[in-house]
Order: sequence, then C-alpha cells, then structure tokens
Amino acid sequence: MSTAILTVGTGSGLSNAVRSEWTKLWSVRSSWLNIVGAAVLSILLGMQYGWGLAYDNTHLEPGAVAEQQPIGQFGVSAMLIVQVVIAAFALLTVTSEYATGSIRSTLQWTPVRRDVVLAKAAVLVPVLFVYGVAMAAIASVAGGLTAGSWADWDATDLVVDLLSVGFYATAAGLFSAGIAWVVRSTAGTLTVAFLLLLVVPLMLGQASLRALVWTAALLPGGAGQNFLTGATDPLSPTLSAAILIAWAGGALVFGASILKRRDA
Amino acid sequence: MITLEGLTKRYGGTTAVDSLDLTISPGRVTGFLGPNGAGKSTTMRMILGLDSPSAGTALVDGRPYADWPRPLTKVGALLDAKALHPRRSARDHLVAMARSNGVPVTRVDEVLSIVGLDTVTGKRAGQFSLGMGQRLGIAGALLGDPEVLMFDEPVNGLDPDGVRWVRELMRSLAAEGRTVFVSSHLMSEMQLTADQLVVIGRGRLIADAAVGDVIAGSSRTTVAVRIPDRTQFAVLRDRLAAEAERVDVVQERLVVTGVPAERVGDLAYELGVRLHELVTERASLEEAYMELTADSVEYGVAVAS
Repeated sequence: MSTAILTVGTGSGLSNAVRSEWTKLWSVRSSWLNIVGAAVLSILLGMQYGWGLAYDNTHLEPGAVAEQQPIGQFGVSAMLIVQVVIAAFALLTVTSEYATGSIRSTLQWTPVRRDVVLAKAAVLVPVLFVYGVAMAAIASVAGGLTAGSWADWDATDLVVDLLSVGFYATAAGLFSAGIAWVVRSTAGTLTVAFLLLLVVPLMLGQASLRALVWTAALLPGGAGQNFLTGATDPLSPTLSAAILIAWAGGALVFGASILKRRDA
Repeated sequence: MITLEGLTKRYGGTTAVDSLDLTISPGRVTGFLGPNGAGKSTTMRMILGLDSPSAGTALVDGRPYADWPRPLTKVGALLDAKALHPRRSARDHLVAMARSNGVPVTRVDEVLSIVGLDTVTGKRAGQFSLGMGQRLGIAGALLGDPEVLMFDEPVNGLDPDGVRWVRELMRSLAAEGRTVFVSSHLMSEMQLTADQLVVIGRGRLIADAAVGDVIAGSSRTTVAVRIPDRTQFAVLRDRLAAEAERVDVVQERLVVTGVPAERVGDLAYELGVRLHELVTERASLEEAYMELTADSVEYGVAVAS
C-alpha cells in the first residue's frame, strides 16, 4: 500500500458524476455499435425515401403535380424509425447497469441518487442532440442524392429540419432513459419506449375520432411527429415541443423518485 | 470509524438485521463473522447506503456514507467483485470510478500495480478469473486512499499466495491507522488476520471481542493438569469443581474448563499439590465460532448422533 497523499479534485458530486458517466458511455463497444447501426439505417431509409420520391414524381396519377422536396424531409421521415435505435442508445446507459450489476458500483461511487440520474441525463443531452442531427443529416443527404432533381437543397430549410430532429431525439432519448430507471430491464424498457414513441401514436393518429387524435398528440411519439412535420392540428408545434419536454422531464423525475426509494 | 446504532433491516416479515449496535474502530482489523444469511452483507450494504435501514443508523466518522462529498476517499469497499460491466476494460472501469470522485487518473495505474494487475489493464473485466476480479475489486477499494476499508469475502477465489497477500495488505492497512472491516467464512484465515471479531447470527450481535478473548471464552479452551498423587488429585479436583465451569477426568488428567492456567497453578501451590503437567489447550477460532453460532445457523443440518 502506498501512503502517497492523494490530491483530490474539488469538483462537486454532480460534475464528477458527469465526468464518470461520460467515460462509461464511451468505454463500451455497444455505444459505438449502436451509432454504426443507426447510421446504416439512416442511409438506407434516406435512399428509400429519395428513390420513392423520384418514382412518384415520374409516375404521377392524373391531376397530381410533381414537386421538389426539401431534403430535410428525408431526415425527418427517417427519424420515425431511427428514433427506436437512438432510444435504445439512451436507455441502455441505465438498463445495462442493471443487467450487469454495475449499478451497485455506480451507486457506491455516487451515493446521492438524484446526481446519478442527473449525470446520465446531462451526458445524454448533448450526445443525443448531435446524434439526432447527424443521423438526420445522413438520411437527408442520402435521400437528396437518390431523389436527384426532385431534391431541394435549400440550406436554411435543412438547418431548421436538422435542429428540430436533434431536439426530438434528445427528448425521446431522455424519456426512454427516464422510464429505464423505473422498468430496469432492457427488453421491458424498449417495449414501453417502442409503444409510446412509435406504435400507439401511429395507430391512434390514423383514427378519425377526435379523442384518439388528441390522445396521439399528447403522447410523446405523436407530439414528436406533429412537432417535426410542423402540424398545427390539434396543437401548435410549440405546444407539441412543450409536451415532449414534459414527457422527458416527467420520466426523469419519476425515475429519480423510484431510484431514491429502492434498495440497490 | 464505523458506528452502527440500532441498525435494522426488515424484508417483509423477516428481519435480516436486528437492531445492531456496534463500533468498528480504526487501527485494527475487525473480522465480521456469521453463518450464511446472518446479515453480514446486508449490514455492509447499509453502511454504504446501497440498502436503506428499516430503523437505526450506520455512520462513517459521524456521517452517513452518502453525506461525504467524495465518499470513495472516505470508504473503500469491495462488496461484490462482479458489480461491473464485463465488456469494459479493467482500466476504464477504474478511470470511470476515479473520475466519479475527483481522484486523479494517475492513481488508477498506481492501484493496478499494487494489486498486480498492471499487465492486464486493457483486458475486459468480464474475462478476468475469479481471483483477478477480486484483485480488481481490491484495487477499487484502495483507489481513493480511504481511511475506512470494507471487504466482503475478499479472499474468495484467490490462490494461497493471493490469500497471504490479502492478509498482509489488511494488516498493513490497519497498521497505518485505517479502519479495516472484513467478512469471511475462513476461520483459520480470520484467526491470522483479525484483531477484533464481530459475530452475528440471524441478524443479531452474538459477540464483539478481541480474537484472543473469543478463543479463551470457548469451552473448547481447557487447562489440563497431571497429578501423580491420588489423594492430592482428589483435593485439587474438588477445589476446582467449586469455581470451574466443569472439571473432567480424561486419561487420569484433570481437564478444567473456565479457569485459566494461572489460577489452576496458584490453587495447586496453595493446596500443596504437586503437579507433573499444567497445559492450556486452546480452542481454534473455528471451534469457538461454531460454539457461538450453534443456535443461529440459518440453514443448519441436523447431525445424527
């Protein structure tokens, strides 16, 4: 045993926990594999949408008019599917700790449990935002290239679309991480996230019944679609964004309150 | 120093830890013994705030563990060597741990070389053998250079060299004035390592005493006397019967329980009894422990007699 006196940093518990979570996130291969998977998926989806647009515009039904499409729309469309992979990225930061038992080490290192939830969220916010923007950009370019002359490469539109997707990816990821603290298992959390982000809003959104349309708009996935597509019915994009923030914040607060009470 | 006051943990109807009052002092190795299910691990988990007590408090130097700003520099603990991500490298695991408490990353390489893992730092922790995993856990416990160290079954899976290394490490940590609290099932090992023993059974405190006192208090610790003269033999036997727990005659020797050799010798001198042999036969810690916990073994096996 060395008796060297340790000079310990003076950072707060939370800032130290954030640094630790950052290290943990990038020191397992599954994080990188997830990103590679999402990138491949984004390229394929973008290409599919681009070719689809080109085909539709050259096989018009009688009376229909061929229109160019801003390439950012390919990114927005791809996000409907890619969000599940991004949600998995976020929720795995929590569920993998329960699966491996490393949660007990984490709580030993950072015994203030609120700090653990906050630290993971603080690391996820910039990462998810960049992740969402990057995937949307890849899909947009892939779609733009395959759509050929039907692609509208207007930079302002693209930036707005990419930032919107970044915001949505951040909110959806934080929501998934929040429920992960409650559910703990990867399969269970993924099921809940998949249902609330994709399946249920998609089902209800198709309905003609107003009550169901409203329900879809109030769920995180529905609010996300309305926000990304700029829909104004039944809610404005600003309100849809507020609903997304509420779901993400609510899930994290709920997760933290459960974690606080539960024995590790 | 670790202070437990009325520490209690109930799971539904069962009480795993039952109002434990205990002080674990610095500068010595305190062994924590008890049968399986006695509540040792639960007690250690409550000290670290992993489990919250149903009643009572567990304090480290007067404060709950979670209230220390950089807890790893206060308490280093190895409770479960498997509590890590198996696909993260040993070094990355410790780097994340160091950063969580503001410990400089240079310290990671220091502790890896202390525990002898400096050649496998890039290896994934999940590929470690049981013994290497224990060493990594011990490295983690030492990382923050803490005043208090807790180890749950630290020699589990170690080879004889490793067991000896852990023993010397514990002794030297205590000699540096640190509080060392270590649970084990290996009595022979505890007898060599610990100064103080805390024994619990069914969540209750059974003994908190120096190792020497626990052994001396055992009924298996006896004093044997050989007396050539038959009359004197009877005199001393009757005299000892008045103050000993029991006096047996085994192979023409008196075997006395509950009276130290000094007292037997003094009595013989007073009574003018000539002795040919006076010897203390000490119980092993294992025998003393078995006797203490006989009533509190959770998964006891009935012994056919």
